[in-house]
Amino acid sequence: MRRSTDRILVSHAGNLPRPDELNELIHGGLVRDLSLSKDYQERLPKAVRWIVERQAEIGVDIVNDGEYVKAGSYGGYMQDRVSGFETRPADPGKPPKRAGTAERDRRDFPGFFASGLWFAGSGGPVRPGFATPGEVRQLGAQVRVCTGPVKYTAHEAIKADVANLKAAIAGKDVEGYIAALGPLSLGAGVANEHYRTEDEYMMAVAEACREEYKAITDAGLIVQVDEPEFCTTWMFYPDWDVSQYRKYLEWAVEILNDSLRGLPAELVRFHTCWGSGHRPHVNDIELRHIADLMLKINATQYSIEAANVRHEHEYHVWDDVKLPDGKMLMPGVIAHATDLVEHPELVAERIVNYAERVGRENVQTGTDCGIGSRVGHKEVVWAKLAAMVEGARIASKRLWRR
Amino acid sequence: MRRSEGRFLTTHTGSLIRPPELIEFANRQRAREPYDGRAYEETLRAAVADVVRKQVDVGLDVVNDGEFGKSSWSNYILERVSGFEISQDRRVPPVWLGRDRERFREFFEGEMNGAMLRGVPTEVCTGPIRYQDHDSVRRDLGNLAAALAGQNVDEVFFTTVAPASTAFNGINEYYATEEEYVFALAEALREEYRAVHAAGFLVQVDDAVLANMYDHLVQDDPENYRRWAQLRVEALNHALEGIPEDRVRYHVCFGSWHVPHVADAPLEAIVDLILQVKAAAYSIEAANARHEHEWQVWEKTKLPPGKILIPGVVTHHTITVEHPELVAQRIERFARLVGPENVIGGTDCGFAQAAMIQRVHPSIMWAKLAPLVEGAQIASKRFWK
Repeated sequence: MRRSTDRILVSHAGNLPRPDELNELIHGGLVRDLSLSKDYQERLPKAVRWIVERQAEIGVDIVNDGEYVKAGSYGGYMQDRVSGFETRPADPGKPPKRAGTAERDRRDFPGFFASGLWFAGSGGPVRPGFATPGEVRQLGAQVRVCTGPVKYTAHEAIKADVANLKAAIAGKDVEGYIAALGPLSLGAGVANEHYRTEDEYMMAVAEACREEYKAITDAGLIVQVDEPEFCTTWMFYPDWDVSQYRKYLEWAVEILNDSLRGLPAELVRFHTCWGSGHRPHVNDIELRHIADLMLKINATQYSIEAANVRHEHEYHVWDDVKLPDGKMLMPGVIAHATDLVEHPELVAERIVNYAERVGRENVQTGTDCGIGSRVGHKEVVWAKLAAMVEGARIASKRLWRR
Repeated sequence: MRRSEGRFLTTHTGSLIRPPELIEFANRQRAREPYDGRAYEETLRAAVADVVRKQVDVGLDVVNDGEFGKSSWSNYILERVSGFEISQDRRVPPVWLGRDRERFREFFEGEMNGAMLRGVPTEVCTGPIRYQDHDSVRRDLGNLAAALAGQNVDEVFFTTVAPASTAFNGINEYYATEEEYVFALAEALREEYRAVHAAGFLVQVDDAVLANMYDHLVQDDPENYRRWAQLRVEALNHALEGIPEDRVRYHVCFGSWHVPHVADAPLEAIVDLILQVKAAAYSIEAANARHEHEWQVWEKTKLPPGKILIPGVVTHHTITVEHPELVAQRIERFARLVGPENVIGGTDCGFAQAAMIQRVHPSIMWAKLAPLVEGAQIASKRFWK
């Protein structure tokens, strides 16, 4: 993994806008299933080449495939890549395994959630800071259940992902990463009916995830483990206090490390966030309560939100928490939570705040979360990425006194 | 004007989201449909009482009427002055969006309808400009005074509009020169400023357009903007004559639209113009991704003695609610540069620039005002121990 040895390196958290020829095949991301079609798959190599070139042009140092193969769903894609799960109509008589997305906020903002606004930005007509309710996406009353052995079945698919990205970065002065779903985000919300215990079940989930990670690191690429549930599980158990939550996370760290067992930590980036939905976020778990546990995950780099109004102040956490030697932070310096394009000076200020605390060589810039599908238009994405590169340039000048 | 002594005071920019019953009247008024005038007046009075109470409950120090009596932050004035005709046929491009219209062409096409991008209706000045609707402002001031009865509020503000922001798609066909036209506007607006002052409220003059015209006007020659803006600042000062500076707040923002804002004026380029305005307090955006870094401007620019800054420390530009710690950090940055007694915590802009606009969901608006107050308390503890 490259380090910011003589300037601040630039990366991002994943999702990027798709070219029209891909987008049209999946109706703008609304029909994800169509991304499994032969047509879509055939167009991927060229599209990945294009997005890698676009990133390199803008000045991104650690690039990815835009997550095109995931068709805008950072987690949903994995449902096609593992066996052992089935989806069935929910039994109204049976309580769900846990509460839903953003439950703590839901209790505080019933009117907001009823308005449908919280789906803002998910490819719909509603976007950051707009208050005109869009069409409310109806979540069917369905549950996912584990009914058989959990196995990774997509060795060919991940091989193709790796090949697409490797071909696209060949000969370019960039590093490549691929995002892959974390075990909590894949399995923790699913009711287990097959394994004897939850531990046994989640170990199997971790093992399945590990297959995907391994395919990525074996190829010399960086795997970004996408694990929003490291933060968002706080919402699924709305009555837990911090100590109960920490206890859960200690278990979660074990599961995560199990999924990373034997893989080179040098090629592991861990990404967590507080959920990219445009919602109040007033009940997000504070980073200071969980930062030490996150650092126990066997990764070299940690990508966390830091560019939105709920988490921007948290650079001060690193006044008290020591980043272990050899580890790196990738704070979000641009956000999907607003359509305004960050001023490069603001980006620079944010970078310097981190560099002063954890050392300039241990900071790479990132985005809060994948921004491709969350802001008003792809034009805004490109402008935000450009602002990030420019901000990194300004910060580098200050930090290396050139 | 009250200053932050012993603790940081809080306020907001002005427009708050109207309750549904008021929006219903606004829709009818806009569509020129008949409505029950007396019922409207009663609904308005009750809504103002309610919104004052809510501001007090949330803990804001300097409150207003939410601008509930106005149809919008600027164009309401066209209902109150003579001399203008709205022309749907003679359209001008919305130049106040600057070059972002080109830079983000597809975004804007989706955002505003294409027709609006090519041209917005104009306000043609065809006769003498006179303030002629004293009743409306009297009603609004009366509603606010009545709402304050029994509330523990020391200071109150009331928003008005500046000459630069009046009829900002205007075409002057009546006055011989631009100067005459702008000063005629100023003299009409003065009547409203004076009415507010006489009622004992702080006069807040809103002037988004002062900043909004920057990108368009500097393209050929930076001096074009300076000339345009200088004339309007002088006209505003002319309009404010007779009102003690200590009773005036001046609000400048970069446009409340949720757009990229890359074309916004840098504060650095217009701050001297802002400081020329004879006001005691300046309310300026500082809580959004495009302007948050501009606290640094006050490292180089000295805030003149006796003046107050009201930086935005929460914004309407994101649904996410500010963390109180972030609000405290923002307040402290300003306080360190200009002195804690010269800082009042504010919002970037209003939350409802017209009766029908809601920049965030109403519950989010109120949720943002709470950390504004809490953040000010946190910062106060650090500054005054």
